[in-house]
Amino acid sequence: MTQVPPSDSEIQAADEPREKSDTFEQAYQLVQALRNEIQRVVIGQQTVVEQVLLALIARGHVLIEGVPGLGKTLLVRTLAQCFGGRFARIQFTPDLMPSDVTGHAMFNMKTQEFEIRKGPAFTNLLLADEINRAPAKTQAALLEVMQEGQITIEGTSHPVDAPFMVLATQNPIEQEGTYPLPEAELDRFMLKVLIQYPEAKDEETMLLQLGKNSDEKPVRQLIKPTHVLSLQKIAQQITVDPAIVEYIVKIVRATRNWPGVSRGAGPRASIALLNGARAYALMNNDRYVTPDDVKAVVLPALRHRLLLAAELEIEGVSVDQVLQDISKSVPAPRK
Amino acid sequence: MNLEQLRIAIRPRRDWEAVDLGLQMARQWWWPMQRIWLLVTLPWILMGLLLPADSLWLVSLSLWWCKPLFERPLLMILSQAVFGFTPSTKEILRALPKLIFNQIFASLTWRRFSLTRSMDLPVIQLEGLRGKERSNRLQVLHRDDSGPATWLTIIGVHVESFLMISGLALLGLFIPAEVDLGIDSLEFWGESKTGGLLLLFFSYSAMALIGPLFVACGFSLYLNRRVKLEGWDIEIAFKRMVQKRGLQTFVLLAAIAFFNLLPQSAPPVWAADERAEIREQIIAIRNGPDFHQMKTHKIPKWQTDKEPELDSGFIEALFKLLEAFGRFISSISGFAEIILWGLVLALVAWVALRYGSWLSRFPQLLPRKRRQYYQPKKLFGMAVTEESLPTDVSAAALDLWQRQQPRQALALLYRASLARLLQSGAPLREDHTELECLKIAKQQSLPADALAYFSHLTQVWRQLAYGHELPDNTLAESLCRNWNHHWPDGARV
Repeated sequence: MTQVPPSDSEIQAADEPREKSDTFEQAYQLVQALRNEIQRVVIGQQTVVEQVLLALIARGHVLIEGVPGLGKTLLVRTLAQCFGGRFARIQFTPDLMPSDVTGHAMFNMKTQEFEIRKGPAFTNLLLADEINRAPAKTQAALLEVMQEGQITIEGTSHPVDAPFMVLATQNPIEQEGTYPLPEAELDRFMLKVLIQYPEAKDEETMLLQLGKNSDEKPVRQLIKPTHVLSLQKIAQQITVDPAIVEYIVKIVRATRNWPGVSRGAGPRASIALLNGARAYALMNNDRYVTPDDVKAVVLPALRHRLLLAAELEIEGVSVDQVLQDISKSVPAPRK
Repeated sequence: MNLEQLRIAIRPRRDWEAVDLGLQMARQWWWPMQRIWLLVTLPWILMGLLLPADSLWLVSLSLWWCKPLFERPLLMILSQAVFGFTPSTKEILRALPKLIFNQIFASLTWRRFSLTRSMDLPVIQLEGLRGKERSNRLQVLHRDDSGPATWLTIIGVHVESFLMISGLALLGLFIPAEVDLGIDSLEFWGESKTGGLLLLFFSYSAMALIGPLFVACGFSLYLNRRVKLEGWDIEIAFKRMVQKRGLQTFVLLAAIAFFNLLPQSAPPVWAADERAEIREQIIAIRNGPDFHQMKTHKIPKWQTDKEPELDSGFIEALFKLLEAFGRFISSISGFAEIILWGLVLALVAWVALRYGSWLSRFPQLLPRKRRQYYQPKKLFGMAVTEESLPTDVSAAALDLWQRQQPRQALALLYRASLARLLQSGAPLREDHTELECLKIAKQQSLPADALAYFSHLTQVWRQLAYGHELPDNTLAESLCRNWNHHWPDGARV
């Protein structure tokens, strides 16, 4: 299949005005400042910080998998403080009800009217801690808000404030008494981020900082929530060559026919890859998406959307290995 | 040796019957034997206990090794007890040095592993034979009854080992898992003294149980052999006759026997008719019941190869059917062979189709291919072979640029650079992106200026290809002009 390259006149037309370039530069500086501010507080975990920021810029939600005590809550709280957003945390437990997440209508005896009591999901950053500890019905309470950005209580839809982002965590080792996330729920997370133990040096720095007064360096609010929306808008406007779109689709379609994969990724995966690549380009000060940007987000954007066949799981082949094989098999965009 | 004093019934016995008698003898004189065994071996053990913990296994080993010496006092008891005189402990202890040092070296070295030890011991201890005499004597003795003596040793070794292992295992089962006695980890020769002590205790107990039985059975086999060889039973029978009939009758009988056996110098002369009569009498006696006494011995014999009795008609019918089936099979065998091979090939093909792609996920399962590097002819949809490039790349690219075809111009420069990289052996693959190609180029031994040029070209190419940003005219022209300089014609980086 040969891709017809755009003509030179098209290239000329796509040349952006100078002021747009300045805005882009500002956006990049802003993202860098955000990243540095978060990394000042959350020591180590550069990849995780980068991917969470990427999801924020790409209007996605993140599922973080890692053992307890690696600073997941700290990361989310710091992110919220950085842009002055509201932050809510829900500890998912087996007896948590959907209304505990979304809110409910309550009869006010004084006014003799039903009042809507909004749940913790009405926030900017929602940390769903140990999301797989709650049964499927409670997990499903997040489906609407994650996809539509609104919550329906008693038949009335209430939009949540933008920007809105869900960061759910789950523990990979303890499986007893947990409810694995349903496919529909998993698919709504843009990225699945694996949080690892910090490096020895980072851990030492962390311990040294513990002794200091925590009030000494409070997290600075760098931007307002509206600026996050602007960042998201700028990322959406980043140039994407049709060859890149074709490359993304090829990768996602390859997962559906790959031997040893019983269920491949759906169209949401393509959207996630494209938005993720755009955000990645912005974070790297690129005004256009390159195949490198796509490759950088293939693992976090696809690893939770693939279901390996039993024989591969028994052999100990991980999803990441399969995804690496898939990206090796798909030729880079043909120009 | 007074055979009349024998406390056991003297008669020729079959071999295993003799072993049975040995067991009876051991039961009869069990406690005297046990007492002497303890008296002789306990000092040995007590001295051994002074050794350090990791050498306790040596005590068990030495005890086992010197067993032929410890068996000698047991034989002394038995050999005297069968004649009705059980020696006192004091007498045995007094005789002990002589008993033990008798042919000690041979007994503990090459004769230690003799399988007929139990039967041979009486020859050196009771008959006092050594050297050639001993071996001649043993040759005579071993002609019969030595089989059970060999088996006795083999069975004894096994039973002794089983007893020891069972004892250790039984103890291990009753001990809680938290208490480590060295049984589970079999630390009998490690630093754990308990393990060594337990091994010593159980091996010693097993030897004490089996030793007397072994000696008694061997002695019984030896006695039985002598009874057969020397006709002890006949001697005893004669002696009893003497006692019953008186000495005179015995002398008369003995004289008759003696004279009958002597060669007759003048045989009696018989008349012809007397001779015929005598012959008839002899024939009558020979045919009489005295020479035709039938004695029935019943010996169980396992009939393992007995064929089941079946109805012969049924068998014949079955054979006919089988023959017919065989003929049928041979008639269709060629056809069946083809079908079978077809099935096998189909199975192989099915497995290859069904699991081939799956197997390819595991390169280590597949036969290792010789690592070979293929130079791709196309990368990113562009021809990257030397033949697809113009002779003068710089001039061609500049020409394209000036004809307002910037994309084609930069594409030519980029693919020409890739072609040179491939020629230099850079492992570029189809899935490599521009930045990955640059990374690989950096790993090659490229001249610094060529690398810098390629890096710059990649950046400009990416901007144009993906960002749709046209490069500056001067920059583009310099890139076009400098290509020939950095990648000279025929240059192999």
